[in-house]
Amino acid sequence: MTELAVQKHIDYVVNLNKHTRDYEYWLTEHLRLNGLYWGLTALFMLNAPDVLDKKDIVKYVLSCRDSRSGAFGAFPKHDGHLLSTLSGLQILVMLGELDTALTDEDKSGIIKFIKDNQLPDGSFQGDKYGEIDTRFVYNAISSLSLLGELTDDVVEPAVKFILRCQNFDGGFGLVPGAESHAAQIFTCLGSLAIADRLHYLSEEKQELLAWWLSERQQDSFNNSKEFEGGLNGRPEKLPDVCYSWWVLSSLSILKRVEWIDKDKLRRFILSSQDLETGGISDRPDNQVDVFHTVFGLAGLSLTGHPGLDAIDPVYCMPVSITSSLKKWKN
Amino acid sequence: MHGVKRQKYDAELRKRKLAKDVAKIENYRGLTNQFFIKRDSNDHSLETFKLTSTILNINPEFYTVWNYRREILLGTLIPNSQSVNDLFDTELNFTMAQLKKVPKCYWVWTHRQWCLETNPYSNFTKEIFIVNKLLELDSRNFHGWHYRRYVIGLLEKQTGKSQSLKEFQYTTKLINKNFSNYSALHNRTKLIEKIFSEKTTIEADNEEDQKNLELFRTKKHFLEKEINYFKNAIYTDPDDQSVWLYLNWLLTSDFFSSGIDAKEFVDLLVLQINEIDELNELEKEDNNGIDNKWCLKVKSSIELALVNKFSIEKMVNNEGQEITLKEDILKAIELLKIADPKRINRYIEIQKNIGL
Ligand SMILES: [Zn+2]
Repeated sequence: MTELAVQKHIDYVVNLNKHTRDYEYWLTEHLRLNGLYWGLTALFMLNAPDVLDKKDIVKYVLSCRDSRSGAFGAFPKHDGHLLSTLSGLQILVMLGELDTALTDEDKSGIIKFIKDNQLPDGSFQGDKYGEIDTRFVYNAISSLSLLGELTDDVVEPAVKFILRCQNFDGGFGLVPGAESHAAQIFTCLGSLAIADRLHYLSEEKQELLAWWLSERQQDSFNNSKEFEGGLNGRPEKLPDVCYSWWVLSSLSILKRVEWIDKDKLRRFILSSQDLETGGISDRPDNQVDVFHTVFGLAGLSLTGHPGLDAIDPVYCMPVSITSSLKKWKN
Repeated sequence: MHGVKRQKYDAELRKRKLAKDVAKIENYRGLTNQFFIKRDSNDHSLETFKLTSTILNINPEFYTVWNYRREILLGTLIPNSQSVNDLFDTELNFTMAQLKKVPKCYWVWTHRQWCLETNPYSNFTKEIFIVNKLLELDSRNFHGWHYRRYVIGLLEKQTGKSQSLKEFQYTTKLINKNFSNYSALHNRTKLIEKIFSEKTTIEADNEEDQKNLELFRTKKHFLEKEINYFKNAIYTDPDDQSVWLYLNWLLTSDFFSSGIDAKEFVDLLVLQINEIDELNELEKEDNNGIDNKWCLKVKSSIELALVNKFSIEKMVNNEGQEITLKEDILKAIELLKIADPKRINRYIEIQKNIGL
């Protein structure tokens, strides 16, 4: 089996910010803060949390605060949104700078932004423009818990909304009625887990969902061994490294990581590394990116791959950080 | 990045790429700088609107630009428009041009939804026609399906009339084309539950509706017809997990078991177990005595339902012999441990829970 190219991946992440001469760098501004969170989480797992300059990162995160909404955008001047707000908070928490970088007033602004985006049915819109998605419920619940501001009046309706998104196969979609998708399943299970409401799902439903998730692991495809062991996000789809995270974190929350063949999954992830440049791609021999790099590493970490720092399946942050979270208000 | 082949640049190629990028970067950064200056001065002019088009044509993922585009539309373009409907038609065409490039971009779909909701003259029927076209190109695009349900919801609100029967018929059409279309099967489960709950108020528009409505006479009637309809599919491709997962829902969910007399339901399950056994025997003949995995998986799932939900211990099999369900489940599980080793720990857990 190919080995994990630890140093290559560290170099890959460190170099990401040096590609300013590439057009692609500028076309992905709208994902920059998320990208920084992915990169930093990857470095934590690779046991190299200090290779990036902490002061620079904090400065960048703060420069993404959108003064009009109070929330974080993905890039300086971009609009505040729940997606980038969670990334900003996660970075500050991982660096241990949440309380030094943000004043109480800053925090109240962020909390207000989050709570204002909860709708009467418990769902969350990503910003005032009205897109609704279970991803945003996760963003909101996770953000509030990182701030130690979770309260029942927010959690109960949010959880009710999530339960309405469950389907015939035990999975969850992006809104009630929408097809099950492994990434949305993670956001729903993650929200329930953070909110200490996992027991709202009956044991029978949890088992059904774990079955469906375990069936995401694929055999070889068209007689090519290439895809053997990889996980897909929905039936009849090709395997993809990022689902190593979405599926395995979900199984982990359901306490059933063992329901897939971890060894075969490892092989698939490791064979998707670019051993020259570092980084991991969605499938073997495709173009690497930071998104598949972090989720490939996180998947490996959940399989217990040696040499990787443990990742929290609920928060997608190092266990060493999340083990001391306060979560609830008072 | 999804599905992009790895490219290896040698020093020379890389140099040439970066040289080409210089002008592109200058142009793009110039546009975005200009955009933020206009936005920060609250400029709602047509010129700035056009600027958002230019940027979004280059980068449809730029959500901040979509946001401000809506502000301009609401702030000046709509209030000053001769024909709001024409304005929104242009806007719908613009989002369609983006969807052709990035059919999975959330922000574009969101903008299209906003257009439909904001235009008082929106034509939902026409929009469904467009969704049909999109789903023809990719019948599994979950954005497309999500958008479809959303438009149907708007149409129902506008007309006060349920579209469920027609949507049910639409899933039948797609399933006839390709029975492993999991998105269509999923939507079918939602529509079935919906039709049973609103049955008394649904009116059939035409003969096809009437025929479909007839299917929903009782849960038992529906279930028998539905199993029959899918039998052909599992015989054609017994390895198709989509259909098997759907059948598993028909036969083990509370939705059906709660609406059918317990004795009748148990008889129906026993019949299905025997039919699956029969299919598995045929499969074994074709495959050197190797069992079909999905036959075993779904069969044992139905048997577990009989044990757990109905406290049934024994049944009569195809050979007329009485068998103990728990023993039969364990037999299937033993075979699966060998035939489906990736999921061996699931089978061990089931074994443990049965605890004979
Ligand atoms: Zn992916």
